[in-house]
Amino acid sequence: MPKKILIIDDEPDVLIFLGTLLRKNGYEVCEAEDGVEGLKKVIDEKPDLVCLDLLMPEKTGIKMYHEMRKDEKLRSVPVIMVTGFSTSPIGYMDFKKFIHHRSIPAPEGYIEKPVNKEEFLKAVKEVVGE
Amino acid sequence: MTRIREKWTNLHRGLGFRIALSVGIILLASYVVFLYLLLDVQQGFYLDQIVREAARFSSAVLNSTYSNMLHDDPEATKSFLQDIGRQKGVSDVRIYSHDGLIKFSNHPEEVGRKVNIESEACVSCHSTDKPFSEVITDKRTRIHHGDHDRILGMITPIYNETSCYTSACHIHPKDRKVLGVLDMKMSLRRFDSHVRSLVIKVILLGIGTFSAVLGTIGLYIVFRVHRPVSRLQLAMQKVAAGDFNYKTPVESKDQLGQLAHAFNLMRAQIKRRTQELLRSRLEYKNLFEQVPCFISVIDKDFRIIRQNSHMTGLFKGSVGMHCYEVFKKKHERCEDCHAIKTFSEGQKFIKEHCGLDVSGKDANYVSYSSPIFNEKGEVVYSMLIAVDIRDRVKLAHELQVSKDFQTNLIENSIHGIIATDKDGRVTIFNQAAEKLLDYEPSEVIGDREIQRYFPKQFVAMILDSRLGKPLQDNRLVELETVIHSRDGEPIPIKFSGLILFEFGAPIGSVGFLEDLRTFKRLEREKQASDRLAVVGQTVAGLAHGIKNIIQGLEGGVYVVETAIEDKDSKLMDRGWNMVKNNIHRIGDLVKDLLAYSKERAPEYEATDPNALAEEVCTLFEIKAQEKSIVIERQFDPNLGKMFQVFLDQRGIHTCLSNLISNAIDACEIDKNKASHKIVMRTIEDTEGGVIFEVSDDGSGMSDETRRKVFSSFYSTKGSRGTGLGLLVTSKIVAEHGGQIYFESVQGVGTTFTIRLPLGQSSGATTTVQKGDDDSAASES
Repeated sequence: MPKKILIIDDEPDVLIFLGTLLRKNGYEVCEAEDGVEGLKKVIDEKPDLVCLDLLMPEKTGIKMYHEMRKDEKLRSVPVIMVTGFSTSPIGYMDFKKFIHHRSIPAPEGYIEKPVNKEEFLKAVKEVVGE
Repeated sequence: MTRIREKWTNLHRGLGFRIALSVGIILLASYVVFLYLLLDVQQGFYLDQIVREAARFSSAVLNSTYSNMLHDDPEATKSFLQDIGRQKGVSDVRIYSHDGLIKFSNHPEEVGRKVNIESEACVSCHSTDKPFSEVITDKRTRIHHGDHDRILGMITPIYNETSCYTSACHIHPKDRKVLGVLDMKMSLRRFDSHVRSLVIKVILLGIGTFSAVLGTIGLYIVFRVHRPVSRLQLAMQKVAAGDFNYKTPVESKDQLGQLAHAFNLMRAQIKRRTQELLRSRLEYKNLFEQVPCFISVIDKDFRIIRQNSHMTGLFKGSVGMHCYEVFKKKHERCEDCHAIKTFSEGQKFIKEHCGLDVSGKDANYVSYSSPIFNEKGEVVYSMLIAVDIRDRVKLAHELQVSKDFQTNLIENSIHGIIATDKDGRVTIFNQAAEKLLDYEPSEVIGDREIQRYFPKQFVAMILDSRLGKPLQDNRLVELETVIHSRDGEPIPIKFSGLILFEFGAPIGSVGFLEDLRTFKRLEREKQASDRLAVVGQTVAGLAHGIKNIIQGLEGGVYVVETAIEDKDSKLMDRGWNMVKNNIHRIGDLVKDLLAYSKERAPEYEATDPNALAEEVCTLFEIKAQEKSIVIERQFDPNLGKMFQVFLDQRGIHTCLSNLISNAIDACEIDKNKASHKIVMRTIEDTEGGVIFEVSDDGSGMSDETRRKVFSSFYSTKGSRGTGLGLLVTSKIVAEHGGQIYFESVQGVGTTFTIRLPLGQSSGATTTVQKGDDDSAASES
């Protein structure tokens, strides 16, 4: 039974790329283009892992992550944050402190854009296994 | 009884009564004297008549007896005398001899008797030692009381005549002078009764006339004197008792009437004066009570003997207390007492004091002490009039505080403050000014060389104001200029100055000098750092953009490779599209970068704004339809008809394309609606110009996005945007001298507005700019 991974990103390029990468490596993949759709799919598809983009329209990754962690059913679903922030022209921000604080635990992994295939697969493997 | 006595007392004290009494007594006395004299005269007259009658009668008798005597006929004489004696009114008729022997009588029994020389018939003649030879008639009579009536006796001597001593009988010697006397006695009954009746009549007449006169006088006195006097008396008593309303009737024009009239005048006068006095007393009392001062009268022991209500209100003193107890709550006289000087010198004194009011708070007052003299001219009291000056003292204190505050404010201001008076002399030169210009205040205060401290423009304003020339403005605001310090160092300052006026006349000026040296240095530093920041930001943004594109390319290549491996033609298409899109993005990025980085003057040419807008709309029409977006045109048909519009067509085309493109993206992101609408609007600006508006009903912006909308490399579109579109747009608008602004509500939509001036065509500039812009033109 392959592990199911939910990719949430507003950029179709990223969805195609990461989806192809994960499928090629034997994972079952489902996709969502924003936080609203993503949250719905977390409940419907019951993925083993969520790869969540930090910056999205409608509902940002941070907001969605907080909602997942506050929901008792979804709290246990592991999350890897995919961020493009560290090199953003807005300037470096310690975004991690927005993601987790006292009542919200840290996500299971961080991956920075542009995504390195090997690093990404390694991180996924660490969280969900083969 | 008492009432009767009282009435009597009133009566006998009355003027009328006394006049009546006096008149009565005088009248009575006059009557008595008058009647007495009248009766006396009457009685004398009658008596005289009777005596004469008796004398005549005696002479007649003697004459009748004469012949009988000569003839020596005693019988005839005797009968004759008896006849006479029987006559009415004749009581006795006798003839005495020389020896006093009664020779004949009507009473025969007496004849031959000798009478004593001392008897009543003899005494009248023989009262003297020697008998008179010629007895005068008056002395011959005598009146004596008979048995019933008064009797008048008349002695008539019988003288010796020649015939007597020559007659035959020779009875009488020749040398004898008086032979005898005839004594005739006549009754006075009739005379006395007549006199009595006369007396009675006269007395009755006297009483009658006395009563009539007294009555008349009495009535006159009662009506003309007593009654008006009583009324006058009553009126006076009433006036004395304070009743001024009783008016005495004026009944006559005599002195009493005039008196009553005068009294009425006097009463009215007194009434008016009294009322005036009362009114003025009331006024003074009111004044004393109501005047907004503390008034008290103190005696020489400083005890209050009178005070007004304000006193009791603020100081709660009472009459009998010492003034210092009341005003200052002290137990002994104030050291700086001014009332004591009033007592000793009899003059007014003024002194400012601070007492304690009822609640124990300070009560400042100015006290005026003025002397009150007695009739001997000694100061007996002192009147203290105190005026409450708490407000004034409070204000003075506040003024001082405010002045101190202002002085502090001026002295410690970080800006230099220099003020001059109306003569142009420096009066204020604060620490900051001192520090700025490096002058000592001692050398500046009073100095008239104000051009050292103020910029030329302000000095000119000061001079103009002093010459009375009208000023366009009495202030100079934020003039950036250079002023020289004492050492001649040029100092950049921002100067604000104000000419001060009072009632239209200049009273001085004040200047504020802001040291711009630090500011200018920081400005230079900031400009440098801004340039560095822009370079850094641009490089970082560029790296990010390129990194994203590389990610896309890498992803695309990976997907294509996977598709080849898996022989998945569908995946192959998607991968290849990724590669193509990212190559296109490199083109976009380069184009935007060039547009942004180049300083470029707009290339104005006569333009129909509506046609330009239509061109852009058409360009995006198909792309929009694919995404269920309608592009609506709302063009102002009058635009460009009144005035020809000159625009840089290519630049504005870029701007509008960017805005439409953004609008399409915003609609695409918004998943709440199935279809969207974008409105392209052109409006003729009322101020002369063109307005382009692009509205969408897409997702709208969050607060954060609104703040960063014009930041370089900010994009909400992930890998699709370069983050330079709006930056380029705003740059082009700015180059046109226009403005760009927007309104956006999240979930509702966004409207971008570009306002452009009409611009102008100038061939020269256009040609110059044309060559400059070749590269930009080739990229569009």
